[in-house]
Amino acid sequence: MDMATRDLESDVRCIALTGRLDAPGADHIDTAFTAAAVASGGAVLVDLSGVSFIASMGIRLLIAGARGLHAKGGQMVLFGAQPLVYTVLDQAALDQIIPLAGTQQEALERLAA
Amino acid sequence: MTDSAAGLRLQVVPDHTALEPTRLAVLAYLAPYALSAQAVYAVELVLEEVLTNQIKYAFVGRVASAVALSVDVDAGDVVIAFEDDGHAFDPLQAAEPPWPSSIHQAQVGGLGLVLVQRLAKATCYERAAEHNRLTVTIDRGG
Repeated sequence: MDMATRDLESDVRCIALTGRLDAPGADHIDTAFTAAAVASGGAVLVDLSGVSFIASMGIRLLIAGARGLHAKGGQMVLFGAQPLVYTVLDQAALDQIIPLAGTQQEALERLAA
Repeated sequence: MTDSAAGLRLQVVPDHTALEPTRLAVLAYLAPYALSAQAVYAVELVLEEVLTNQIKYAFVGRVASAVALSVDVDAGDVVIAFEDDGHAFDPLQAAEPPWPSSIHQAQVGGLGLVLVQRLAKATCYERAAEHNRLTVTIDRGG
């Protein structure tokens, strides 16, 4: 499980996750992901296009990061989930908690909305 | 670890370090069956969620013993059974937390077992002779 952070224009941080967001994967990046998301304090996009698998521990990681960021006045939007990953996120009704966009551009538009 | 004609039979030590070798053993067993990508995903999710739940809760306050895992494939389905002699626990009764409508309400405990039920074609729990047995059926086509 890998994680890469880059700052986009206009104070938007993008965190790209790559690999399996299963229990070991979520545990591996837990501290780094939460720190990168919460420390921004602003807008964070999470690029899921490189995530091939997600289970409940991975979803918990996303929720914990979004909740921490929200508490600091920031906002998180997820984008780019592969079809099978998207199905699981949909079954978990995650989009009721964290907005889920198709592309990075759509994610940026969700931030502006 | 044995692979009988009836299917794959594994004794899984209830520890997080057992998750990855168990996943790989099951995938290797299933490889010749050419399951759909959805079915493989569901198998992997079921293994992770059920075994994680057993590791966390089945043996609290007592000596842990192995979980008996079986995987069988028939014409239409993959059938995975988990059997342990831990505390009596019906995961199918525990698995419906209220869905949050905002990030502040989000309580994600129990989510794993909800996902198991939503991705499975059928689930069945039995408690007999001091053993829990959870059987999860997954459609081979997804």
